[in-house]
Amino acid sequence: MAEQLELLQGTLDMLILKAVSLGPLHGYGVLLRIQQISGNRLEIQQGSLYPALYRLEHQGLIQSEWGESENNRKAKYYRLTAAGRKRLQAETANWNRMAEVIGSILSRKPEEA
Amino acid sequence: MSALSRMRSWWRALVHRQQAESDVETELRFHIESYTADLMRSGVAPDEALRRAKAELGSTAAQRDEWRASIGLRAWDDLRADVRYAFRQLRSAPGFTVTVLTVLALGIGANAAMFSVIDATLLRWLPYSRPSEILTFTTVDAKGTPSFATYADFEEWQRQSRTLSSVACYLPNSAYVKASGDDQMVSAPAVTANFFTVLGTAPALGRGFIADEQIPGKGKVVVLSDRAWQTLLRADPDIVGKQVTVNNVPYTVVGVMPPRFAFPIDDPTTQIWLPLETTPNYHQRNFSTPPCESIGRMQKGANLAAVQAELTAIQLRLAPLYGNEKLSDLAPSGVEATRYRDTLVKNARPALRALLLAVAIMWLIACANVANLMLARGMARQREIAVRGALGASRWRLLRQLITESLLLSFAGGLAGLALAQLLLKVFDKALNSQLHLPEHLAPSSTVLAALLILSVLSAMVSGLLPAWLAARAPLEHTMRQGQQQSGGSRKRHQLQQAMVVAEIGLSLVLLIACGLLLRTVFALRRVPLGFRTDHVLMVQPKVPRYKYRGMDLNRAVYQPLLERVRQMNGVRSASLTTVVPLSKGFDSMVTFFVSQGEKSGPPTRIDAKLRAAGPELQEVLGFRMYQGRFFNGQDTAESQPVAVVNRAFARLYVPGGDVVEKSSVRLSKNRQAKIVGVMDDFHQAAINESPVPEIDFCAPQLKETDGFYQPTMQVHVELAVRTVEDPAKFIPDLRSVMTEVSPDLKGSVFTTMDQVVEDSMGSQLLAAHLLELFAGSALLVALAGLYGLLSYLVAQRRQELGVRMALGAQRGSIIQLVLRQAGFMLLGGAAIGSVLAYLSSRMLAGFLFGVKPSDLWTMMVVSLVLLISGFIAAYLPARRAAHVDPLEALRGE
Repeated sequence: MAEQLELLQGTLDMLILKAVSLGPLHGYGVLLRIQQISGNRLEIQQGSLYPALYRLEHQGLIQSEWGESENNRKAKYYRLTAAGRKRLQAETANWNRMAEVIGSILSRKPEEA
Repeated sequence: MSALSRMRSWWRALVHRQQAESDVETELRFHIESYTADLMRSGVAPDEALRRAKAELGSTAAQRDEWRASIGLRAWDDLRADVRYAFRQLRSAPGFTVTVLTVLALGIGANAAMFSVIDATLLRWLPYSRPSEILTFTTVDAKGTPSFATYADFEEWQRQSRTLSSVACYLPNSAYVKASGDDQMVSAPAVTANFFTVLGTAPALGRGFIADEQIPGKGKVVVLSDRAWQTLLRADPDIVGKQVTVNNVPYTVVGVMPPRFAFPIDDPTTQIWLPLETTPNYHQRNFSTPPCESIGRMQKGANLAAVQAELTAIQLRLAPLYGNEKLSDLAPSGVEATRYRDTLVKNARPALRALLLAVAIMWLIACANVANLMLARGMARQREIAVRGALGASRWRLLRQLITESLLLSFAGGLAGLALAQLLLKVFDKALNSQLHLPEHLAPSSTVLAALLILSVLSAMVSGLLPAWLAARAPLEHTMRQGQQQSGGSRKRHQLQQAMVVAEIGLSLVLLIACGLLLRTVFALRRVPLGFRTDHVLMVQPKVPRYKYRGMDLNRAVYQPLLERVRQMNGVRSASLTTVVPLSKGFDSMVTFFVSQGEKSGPPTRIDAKLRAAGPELQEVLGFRMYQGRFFNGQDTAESQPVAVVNRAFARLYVPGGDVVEKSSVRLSKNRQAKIVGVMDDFHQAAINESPVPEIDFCAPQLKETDGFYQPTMQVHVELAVRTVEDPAKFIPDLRSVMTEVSPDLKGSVFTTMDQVVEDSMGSQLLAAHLLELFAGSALLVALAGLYGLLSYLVAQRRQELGVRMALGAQRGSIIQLVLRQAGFMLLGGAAIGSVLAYLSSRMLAGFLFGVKPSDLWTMMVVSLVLLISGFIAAYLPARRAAHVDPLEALRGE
C-alpha cells in the first residue's frame, strides 16, 4: 500500500461534497468512497468526519434522510443540495487555480527566476 | 436558504434535543457496526475489531459535543452550563442569596417606582403631534396679578404673532350627555375651530370643527372622545352624522377623536368637545367678557423667551383698549408662556428630581452592599475557584462564571424589584395622584422596563465585576497550598470592604438627614395655628346639571332647601353655605379695591382680596374667632341692612389703623352699601406656609342677583360646610342619601372632609416626606446589615487570632472593644462623609422646607446620633460573638 497522505487543512468539506455529489451516501459510505477514489492514499480521521457532515448540513449544503443500508440497517443518507452543488463547483474551480499557481511556482527552475 | 437550514438544525438541537441526540447515536452505532464488520472481513478478531472501530471514532459523548459545537452551539451550551452551575451555587447558599436578592430588590424597586412616576410625568407621552411645541399662556396685569385675557386679545395674537404658528381658545365646561335614557356628566370644553389643528391630532372618524360652527346658533355639533364614543354610544361605527343629546339639546356628531386623545389631559372625566360660539360680547374687551383659556403652537425654532416677549409687546398695545384709565391698570398686559407639558407637573418637578436623587443614592448603597457580600463570598469560595482553575478552567472562563452568577442575581433582584415597585405605587397611589395628576393607572411602560433591565445589568456590573475579577485573579497554587487560611492579598481586600461600608453609611446618612429635615417641615406645618377648626367638618360641593336650571337661581331653587334639610339631620351640629373653602386648591375668587385715603391726592391704595359669600353659621362650623365686632347672624336677612365682614389683613389696608367696624362700608350696587360690622382674626386661608391674605365676606342670604358681588360668588361656586357630631367621613353616606332625596339631580355631588383638604394642601411635602422615610429607612437597614455582615465576616476570619489573644490572657471586654473600635472608625468615617454630602445636597431641598433651614445643625446631630447608636447595636452582636470564641477550639482548628 502506498504511503498515506495527511489531509490538507480545510479540504475535508470539499471531499465530502464531491463524494455525495456522485449519489446519496451514509457517513461510513462517505469515508469508504473518499478512500476508494483516492486509492487509499488519503488518511481521514474518522473522528472529524461526522462534525464535518453536521457542519455542512447546518450550512444547508447537504441534506440528510433516514434510509436502509445494503445490509438492511437503519442509516442516515446524505445528499447534495443545490447550494452544495454550487459550492462544490466554486471550490473545485478555486482549488484548480490554486494548484496551478502553487504548482507553477514550485516547478520554476532557478535559471528562469 | 442557508439561514433556513441553520434555523432548522438549531431548532432540532435545542427543542428536540433528545431526539436529535439519539439520531446522532444511531448514526454512529451504524458506523461502528459497519466498520467492525469490514475489519472482521479483513481478518481481525471480533473483539479487537470492535475496539479499534470505537477507538478510531472517539467516544460517543465527545462526538455528541462535537456535533453541537459544529453547528455553533458551544457558546449557548457554555452559558447554559454556567447558569445551571450558578443556580446550584446560589441554592447551596440560601442566606447569601436571599440577602442579596432583598438588597437588590430594594435598590432596584425604589428606582423602578420613581422611573414609573417620572415616565408618567416629566417624560409623559402626550397624544399630540410634537407636544413640546404646544404652549399655554397666563396673563397678568401691571402689578403681576393674574388677569384673564379675552377672546379678542387671542384673535390679535393669532393675527400678529410671528413666533406662534397658531392660537386656539377653549372654555372649560361640563355638560350632560343622554346615554341609555340617563344623563351622564362629561367634561365638555368649548373650543375654537382650529383647536384640533393646533394640537395636531386628526379625528379618527369624521372631522374637527369648521369656522362657521363658531357662529352663534350654528354650533350644535360635537366631537366625541374615543371613551365617550365607546362608553356612551356603544362604539357605533356610523355615529358621524347622527344626533346625541347634550344638555337636553340635540347635537350632530361630526367627529370622533382617536383613543387616548384628551384635552385637558389631566382631566379624568369622559370628554366631548363643543364649538365655542362667539357671541358679540366675546369681541369686547371688558371684565364681563367670558374668560377664555388659550393654547398655541410655537413656530419651529422659536423659543419661549421670544414668544413671551412678542406676546407681551402685543398685549401692551391692547391693554389700553380695556375701558377707562383706572381699569387699564387691571387689564392683562404681561404674558407668560409655559410648555403645556410643564404645566402638568407644575411645582412637583423639584420634588421629583430630589426623589430621583434619593433613589439613586439608595441604589448605590444597595450595590456597595451586594459588592461586599460578593467579595466575602468570593473569599470563602477561593478554594473552589482555585480547584476549577487547576482543572483547566481559564481565567476568562472563571470570570464569566462569576459574572453569570451576579447577572442571575441582578435579574432576579430586578424582578423582585419590579413587584416591589408595583406595590410601592399602589400604596402611594392616592398621594401621587393628588399631587401629580397621573394617568389612570401606572402600568410599567416599555421605557420603564428597559430602564429596569439596564439597571439590573448595571447593578451586576457595579456590584459583581470587581469581586469577580479579584476572585478569578487569585494566584492558584498559593490558595491551594494555604487552604482556608487568609492569603496575602486579603488585607487590601478588607480595606476595600471597609471603604464600601463607610460609603454605605455616609450615603444613608445623606438620606436620613434629608428625611429628618422634611419630617421637621411636616411637623412645623402641622403646628402652624390655622386659626380655624378642621375636625368634624365636611365640605360638600352640590353638583346639578346646570342646563335643567337655566334661568333659575340655584341658590333659591337648590342650595337653600338643601341647607334647610341638612340642618335637620341627626348628627349635624350646624351647616352653612360658603363660596370659598380655606386651603382648598379648588375654586377661588379675588376682588380688587381701590381705596383713596381721605383728601390726600395720592394714587389710591390697591387691595387684592379674597371674596367670599358665607352664611351666618360659617363661624360656628369653622370656629374662627372675631377680632372686633361680630360675624353675620340670623338678623342679617334679605330685608335688613347689608353687612360685610373683613379680616385684619384687609382692615389694615382699608383704613389706617384698621378701625373699620361700623365706620366703613363697601358698595354692593347702586344705592346699596354693605356696612362692615366685624373684623375676623387672620387665619390661613391661602396656604399653611403663606401668611393670610386680605379677605372680605358678604352675607349669603343678603346678596341679590343684581349685586355686583353676586356673580363671582353665589353664581359660580357654592359649597356646604357641615359640622358633624361624629366622624365626618362616616357621615358621607347618610348625607348623600338625604341629598338625593332633596333632588335626584344632586347625585353627582362631591364630598371632602376638611382634614383631607388640609392634608392635600401640604401634599407635596407629605408625599416627599413619606417616600423619603421609606427610602432612608431601607437605606439605613441596608447599611447596618452591611456593617453587621462585614464585622461578622472579619470576626470569623480572625477566629484563630482571637483565640490566641484569649489564650494569652486577653479579657472578653477588651475583645469586644477591639471589634467595636473597628466599627467606630467605620461609623465615624461614614458620618463625616455623610454630613459633608448632606450639607452639599441640602440646597436641593430648600424649596420644600418650612420652619427649618437646610443646614439645620440640630437635625444633623440628632440623625447622626441615631445612625451611630444603631450602628453600635449592629456591631455589638459580632463583637459578642468574638468575645465568646473558645480559645481551645479556635486553636485546634489550625
